[in-house]
Amino acid sequence: MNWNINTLNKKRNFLPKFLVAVAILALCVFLLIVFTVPIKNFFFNISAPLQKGLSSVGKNGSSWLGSMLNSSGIQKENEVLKQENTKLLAKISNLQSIQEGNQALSAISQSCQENNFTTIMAGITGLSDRDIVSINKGYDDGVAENMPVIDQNNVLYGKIYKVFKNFSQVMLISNENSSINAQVQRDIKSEVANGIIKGGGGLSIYLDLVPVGLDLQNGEILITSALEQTFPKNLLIGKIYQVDKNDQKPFQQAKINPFFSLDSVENLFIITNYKTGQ
Amino acid sequence: MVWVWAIFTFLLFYFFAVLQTSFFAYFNLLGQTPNFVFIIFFIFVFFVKKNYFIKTLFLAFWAGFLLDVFSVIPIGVSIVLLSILGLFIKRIQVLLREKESNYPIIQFVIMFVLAFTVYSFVMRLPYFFLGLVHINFMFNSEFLLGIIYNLSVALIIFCLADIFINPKSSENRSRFL
Repeated sequence: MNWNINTLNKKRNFLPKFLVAVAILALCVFLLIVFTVPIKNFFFNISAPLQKGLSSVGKNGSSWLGSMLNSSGIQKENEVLKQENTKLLAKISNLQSIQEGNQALSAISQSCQENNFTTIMAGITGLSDRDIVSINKGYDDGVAENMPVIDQNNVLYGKIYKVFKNFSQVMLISNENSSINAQVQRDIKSEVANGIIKGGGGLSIYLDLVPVGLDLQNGEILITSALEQTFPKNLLIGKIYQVDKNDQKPFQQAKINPFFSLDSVENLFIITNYKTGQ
Repeated sequence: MVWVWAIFTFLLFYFFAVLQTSFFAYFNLLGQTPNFVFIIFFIFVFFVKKNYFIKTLFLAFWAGFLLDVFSVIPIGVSIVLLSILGLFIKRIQVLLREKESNYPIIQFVIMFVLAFTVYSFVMRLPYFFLGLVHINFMFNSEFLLGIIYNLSVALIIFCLADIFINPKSSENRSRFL
């Protein structure tokens, strides 16, 4: 009987405590939601130097660990690269003749591609989950949402997802909700193969919606197509390494090795003046 | 003393939040990285004894705040979720506990896996509404790998914390380890 009374008293004492704690928590959460943007910007400013330092240590550490783990595979990889190099040299000599013919045309298109775009260089400061990268340029630097993000080798990384005063968040092309019109890089005489590059999460991407009648080969390179609305054409995306073709399905898929690599890049470039269809 | 504890826990969570978004981001297994803030939060909640109601809410506030600050979702979502999870973990622990100083590792593993699964699943919802994830991607091999990776890190920290907090309970530990 005594035990029951004690339990009841404990419960009675606990209820007001519980309600007060929940009310305080709810008020704090409400205030935090209202002031989300300045709070995030403040924490970014104070954490950016530390994050940058730790990122570079992490990069070096992971590449060292990777080389230690893959030491047996390096020799094999070297052989494959040598073979690939020989093939590429043969391709270069073929391309040189084509290049002469197309030089004038490619010069115009290249100058359109290169000279008309202005870029802002930004350093990577952190990588959060869901394939989002933080960079140290915000709307004070002229960054706006949906601007394409590339590296110095014209490799596509993604687009600006959210902009704050001094930093921005980039949605990588590997984000699950990312989809990009892409085409296989081939010479003019070959059949054009278009598809959609979709993000698979965890820094992975795959090619989808390629008609089953088209022939895809391992090792073929994917670039952004002229149909793409958000990104300029001819940006490098990745290389096909496994084609998943089933004649009973209308479309085929392919696994892609993305060219973007967060381990090897220090700075990214934001294209600030790209307009759809340019 | 309470303020020292509050500042210490905040600094600890802050340090691990920065570490997981910079240094450990490069040590991913198929894109999975350890969620140190969640792991530290869970271990704190697991070991907290006196005034667990207030302390759990306090820990959930710091951990959730920093998780949201370094992500794309509005600040507050993780605070609410971790508060509910933390109190739930503590309630189950109180019901299961036989002795005050006994924290068996099996209980820890089961509760961690359940809490991490619930956390990962619920946290997909705000990302889903922001258009960043698909719900149907939830239970795949990457997700299982994420659980194993996080559980491995959590177990290492759990053993270190157990030695630090309960140095005399080595006999109990050996029963479960």
